[in-house]
Amino acid sequence: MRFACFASRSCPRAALALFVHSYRDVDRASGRTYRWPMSSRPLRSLTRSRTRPLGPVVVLGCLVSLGCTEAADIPDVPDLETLRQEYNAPTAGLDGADVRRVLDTFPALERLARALRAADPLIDSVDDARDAANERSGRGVDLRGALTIDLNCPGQEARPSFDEVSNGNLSIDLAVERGVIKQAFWMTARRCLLRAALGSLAFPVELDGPIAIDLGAPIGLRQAWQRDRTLVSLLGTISIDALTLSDVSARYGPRDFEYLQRTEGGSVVLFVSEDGIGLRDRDATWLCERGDGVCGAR
Amino acid sequence: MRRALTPAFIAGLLASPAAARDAVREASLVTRGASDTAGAASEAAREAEPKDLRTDFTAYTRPRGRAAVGPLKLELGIIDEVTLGTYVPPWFAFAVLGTPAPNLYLKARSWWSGPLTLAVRGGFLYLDGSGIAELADADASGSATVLTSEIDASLRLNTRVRVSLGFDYSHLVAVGSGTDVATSIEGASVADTGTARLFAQWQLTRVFGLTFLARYVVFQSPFGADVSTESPGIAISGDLSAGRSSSGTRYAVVPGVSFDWTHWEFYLGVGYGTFQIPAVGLPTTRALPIVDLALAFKFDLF
Repeated sequence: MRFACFASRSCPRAALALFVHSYRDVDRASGRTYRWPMSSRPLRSLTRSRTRPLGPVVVLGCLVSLGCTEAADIPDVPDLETLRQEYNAPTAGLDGADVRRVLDTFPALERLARALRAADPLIDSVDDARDAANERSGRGVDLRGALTIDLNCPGQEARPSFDEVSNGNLSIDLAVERGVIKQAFWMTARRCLLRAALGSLAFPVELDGPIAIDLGAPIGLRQAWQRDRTLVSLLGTISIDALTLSDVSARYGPRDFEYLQRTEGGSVVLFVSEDGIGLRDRDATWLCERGDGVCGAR
Repeated sequence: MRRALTPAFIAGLLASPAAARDAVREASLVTRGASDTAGAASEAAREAEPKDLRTDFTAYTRPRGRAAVGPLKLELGIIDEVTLGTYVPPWFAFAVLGTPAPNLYLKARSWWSGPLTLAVRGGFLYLDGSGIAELADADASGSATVLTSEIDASLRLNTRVRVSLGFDYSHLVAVGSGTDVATSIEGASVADTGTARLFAQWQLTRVFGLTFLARYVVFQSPFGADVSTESPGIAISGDLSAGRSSSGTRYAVVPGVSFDWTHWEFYLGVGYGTFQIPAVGLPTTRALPIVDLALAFKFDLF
């Protein structure tokens, strides 16, 4: 199409000349030449004439290309499908005795859950971007391109202070195609400070680096959307109090939080739900009482 | 009886019914007698050709000095091959939009006489910012000029049937704040548009004819629809373009009737599909019931 746009600058005049001169119609019987449309034989005998229809094709091609304009580029989005499959189908098989041991290898599960949920209000700013884009849309119009949200982080104090210098910032790059915001997008944190709480205990959180997010469902510009289970893959770091984690992932919805833990035998999914903490392996789901309680298969 | 296909005979076939009979009779005499010159035959054809053919969707123009005045448009034949016109409603747009929309078009057709007529047409419509804001879904500023052009080819198949092919191209030029120009006009339309069209007219009597119009939106280019908002702690910017929805309707089919008296012409078509706003040349992106209307009083001004 780029070539067509370029070609269209010079080709209409040439094509018009070609059009006029190409329809040379030769009557085989008389040998007389007619230059259509300046002069013409009877219509019924035109079907037996020799014509060269290249000119009109070129004219049409040029006219079609005249209107082309570059569409906005759609930014790359992360592909989290493989990770989603891992969450859906963990590969390790555990017996009852191993469940508690594996859970104990990651004692910060609940705090990680709270820390990531602390970033939810920032992710919800996608709604503001959706509203802004929707104002540029209309019925029968498809938008495409990139939406960028730049946010200042609220900080670690009880009273949020959206000061970029002291609390860092975070940017979200959304891809819009066919009037829909894609469900997966990149988020980049620059020393973004947040405050999370577990029960009555508040603790500081710091995000830094790129984060891949999949909201679970695309966001239509013109209709309300509801977040499904959010899949997060932190390629940078997340600091929770003194604990710093890198290259971690999580999947969470309104009522549960899952964390993919790799073990020697494969992967398992640790989870926190309203019923307690637990683990999902290849064959079963184990639910454990909080603290050092026993675990049982569900 | 077998007759030679002389130019005069063909001209007779292609002329109006009454004139055709005379021309054919004359051609027969010519055939039986001596051969006539091609110039005389051409003259006969020119005489037999109706002088005031329909100008909408065809390559035909108004004869020199002929004016057509109607509620929807005014046309004047400057010379036989050139017609100047304007759409009336945009001039009165101030009643709705608070500002008139000046518009003008010029149409020139081929100079030769024959079954095929070619024409080109160019026009513009200017709408200032307040009008855009009224039309658009979004707030808009600046002004806009719509440039329209078309090429037409009309072919006379016989005395009663004429077929026209045309291609319309319209371009919306934003002046001033380009990024603020609305992407949505009349239920959403975008800037560059190319439409192909087929129009056929079957003249059943001297006055009454059946018409058929088919239109297809060949392309509608994407148009810049950038966004930029800022509030404390959050800034949103968008590098967006708007284009016609892939699921949107691209065609329109409008069968109709036409009446053509000495001083009046009336055309009514009722159909369905994407509606093309005449003065602007932009089609709606939604399919709508279409009522296509033309009414004009014709008289010779000079």
